[in-house]
Amino acid sequence: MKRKSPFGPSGVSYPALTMGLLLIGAPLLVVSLFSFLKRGSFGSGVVYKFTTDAYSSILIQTNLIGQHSLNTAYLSIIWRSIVLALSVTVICLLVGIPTAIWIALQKKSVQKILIILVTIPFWVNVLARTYAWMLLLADKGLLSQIGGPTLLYTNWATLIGLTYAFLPFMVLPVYAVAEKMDFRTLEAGFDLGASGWRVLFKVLLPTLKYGILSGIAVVFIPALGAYVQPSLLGGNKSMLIGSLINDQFGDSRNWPVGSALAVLLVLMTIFALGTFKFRGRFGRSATVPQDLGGVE
Amino acid sequence: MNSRGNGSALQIRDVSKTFTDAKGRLVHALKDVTLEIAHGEFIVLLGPSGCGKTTLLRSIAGFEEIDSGTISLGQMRLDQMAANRRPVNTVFQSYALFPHMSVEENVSFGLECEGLPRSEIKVRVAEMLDLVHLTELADRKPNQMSGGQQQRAALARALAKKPQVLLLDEPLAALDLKLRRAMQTELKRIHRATGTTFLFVTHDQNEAMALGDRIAVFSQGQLRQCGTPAEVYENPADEFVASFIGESTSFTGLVMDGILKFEELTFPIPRYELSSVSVAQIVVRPEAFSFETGEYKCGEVTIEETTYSGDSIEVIATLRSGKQIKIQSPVEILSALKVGSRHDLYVDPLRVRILHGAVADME
Amino acid sequence: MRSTVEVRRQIPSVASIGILAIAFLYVPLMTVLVFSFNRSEDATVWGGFSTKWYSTVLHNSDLIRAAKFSLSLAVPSALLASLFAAGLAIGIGVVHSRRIVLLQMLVNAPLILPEIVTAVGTLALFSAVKIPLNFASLLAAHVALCIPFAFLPIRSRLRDLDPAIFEAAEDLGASSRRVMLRITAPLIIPAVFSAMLLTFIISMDDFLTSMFLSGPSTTTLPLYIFGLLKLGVSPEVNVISALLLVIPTVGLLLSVVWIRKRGK
Repeated sequence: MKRKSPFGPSGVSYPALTMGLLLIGAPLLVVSLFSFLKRGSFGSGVVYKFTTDAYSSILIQTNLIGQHSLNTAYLSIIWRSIVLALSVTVICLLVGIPTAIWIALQKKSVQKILIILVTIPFWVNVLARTYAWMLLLADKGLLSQIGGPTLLYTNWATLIGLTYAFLPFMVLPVYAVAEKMDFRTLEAGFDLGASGWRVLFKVLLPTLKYGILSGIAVVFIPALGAYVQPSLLGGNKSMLIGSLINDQFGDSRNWPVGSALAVLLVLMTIFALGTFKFRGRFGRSATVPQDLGGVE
Repeated sequence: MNSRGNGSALQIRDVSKTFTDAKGRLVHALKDVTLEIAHGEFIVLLGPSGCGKTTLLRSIAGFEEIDSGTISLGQMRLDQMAANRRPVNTVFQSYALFPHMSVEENVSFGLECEGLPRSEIKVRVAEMLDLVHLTELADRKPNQMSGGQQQRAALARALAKKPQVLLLDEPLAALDLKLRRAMQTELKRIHRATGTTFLFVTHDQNEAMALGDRIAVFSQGQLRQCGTPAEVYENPADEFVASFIGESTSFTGLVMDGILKFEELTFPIPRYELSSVSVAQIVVRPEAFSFETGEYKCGEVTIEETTYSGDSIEVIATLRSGKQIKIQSPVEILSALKVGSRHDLYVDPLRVRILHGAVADME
Repeated sequence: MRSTVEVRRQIPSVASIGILAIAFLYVPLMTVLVFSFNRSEDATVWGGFSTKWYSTVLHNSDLIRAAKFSLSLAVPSALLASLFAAGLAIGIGVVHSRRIVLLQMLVNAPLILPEIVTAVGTLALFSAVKIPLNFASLLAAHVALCIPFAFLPIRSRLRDLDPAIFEAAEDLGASSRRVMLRITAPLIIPAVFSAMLLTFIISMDDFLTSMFLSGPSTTTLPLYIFGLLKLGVSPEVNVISALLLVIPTVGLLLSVVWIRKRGK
């Protein structure tokens, strides 16, 4: 007797598994393969010849007379992506954790409404959401009309756009933990004479640890690989890894380098996942409204 | 329809099963269990949670694979057969009624799997609903019924298949006490009416006593004793059975000339022929003791606590060493049993039990 | 709850931050909504109420064509992804071998992997094995992208069900095919509906995968809009964004209400 699925024949899982193998597994494999190949001489594509040029060219540049030096062009883009993603994560932490706690402190019915409110922006097309910030931050946009600076096509605009896109990702996992927590433990902390800060760092944040860790992972990882917000809000001045990969597969036509960058992005994702001991539900799926999930 | 007593229906031979728990330790869920169950018998598997009784039931049903041994039904080997082909059916603890189907659809499901003609299914379903008194509720969905009604539906659904053995996995655990009593009576009636072999798993010794033709007591994956309720109660095979079924106090001591000495107490054991000097372990039920004169006098004890329970008093008395003894006494003498007072303790010699296998010859 | 009051008193800032966060989420959306009714030719300067840009947008044949194409892609994507995801949830059950866990991780990778990686990977794969970039290849990529999002609600539904139900069906003699058709399928239908809704929105919204895999004849709505956005703000895009904001939101809320009603 082989242990099988209680829900039905195991064969019905094959289409999805095949899709995963062919359209997720194989592409990852091909990207890794391409990153070790030579650039095609004309236009796109690769030449099937092993080389680590793609990786070394990300680090080192060789000038016309054969001298080697550190290639700051790629590294600064990677560095900028990491700094920006970290900044987005920190802002989301500072705003998202109090927001999640605030929601968890409301009555159950109010909580439900607030969670739907936090979730809805996510189901609005990412282009429409990003455009909203273009409207606000543009040259003659509303921010400048009320006397603010014009931020469109700067790193600040990218920062705002990414924070806007990923704030729900922080709020939802933290709320999932906060909702179950017993707030009387905080009261006990105050009762024992602890200061607000002490209660915050010794009681509240440790309790919310797993929510916060998964929040960090699900904000940092997509922020690192973001393409839409940086290219629409940041303009050409603030290129990030995402745009760089796009460039290598598009205008610059250097697929091996693009593939190598994609591999780096995967490695950074795995590293971030490992670091933040990620548990629970992932990214966009965390925004699936409960009522849509399991209804009798 | 009653086919009781025509030899054994279900034979379980040397069945063992181990699994690895969450911490990576090897656990013996079943250890060399051998048990024969007769046609039409109502057998109860009794034991604390984790004792293996449910694992055995699930192995018979086909939801667990056994490591060694055989389970057979007459000439038919069950343990190699897929669960959906075994001629046994289960009533689940959670009832496991299909929530999207009416009672009638639930009951007919198993018959449709057999491919019976529609007309026959209809007749059989009606018969079953009548048996469990659910005819009026045939169109209800499970969530529109009470726990007791769901229980009956689950019973009808399993019995509709006319199983060789009906397996019942703690089916009454979720019901309140009053309803549980009523369902016990119902189960006995249905058992009589169908003549089917019932194998019933429970951790409740009162339920086991009330229902079983025989009780099989399990502990730590092993079958400790199998016998009629009276046998198991009166002649427990070991200390575990004695303590699990009913209350009792056990004493281990030296036996000389038919008298067992335990600290300051003595017990007569005339019914047993032991060599002149030996060590024995005895168990005594609370109701075998008495504070009134007339029977054998064991010695003196101190009253530690008394609990009034309506028709009797539960007394805990202690010896000088602190050893506690459970005694049941008539209510009339409650006023005399002051905490801390000393009393003579008497015992009915015929109700002193030597545990099987606990006798060690000293020679 | 007394403690709630206490916590609010001690940490009053959570309320202000929370309210600001909600405002932060909605001010941009509301701005787009309001300015979609702007009469002015200037996208960002209010010039009075008008619906004229709506009629301009609804007569934009390129936009309509792109929207139709996206619909023709999103509907089969959602259907196939939900069907496959249901099969996955049913077929792999709860006890997994190590190989299956690995395969399942691959299927679910789009949940966490930056989309650009799978997008360029698929492009590289298609070019390596010479698969042309057309409707079918784009559809396949969309389905792969959508499966994990459909898988989650269906699996969580299956996990919420009493496992004894499936044992009972087997106990009563049902083959695994019959268990699937008579027990599992009817019980997961609500979850499959939500899966279809979610994956429909994901496919409609998808930008990156479509960008890398679109051929000359496969311009999706997001691709078309991205082209417009690259040119900067305009009254027309105000309207398009407003529509993209309102339609999925209303659709989502209606379906929540519908599913709730159906549940009763």
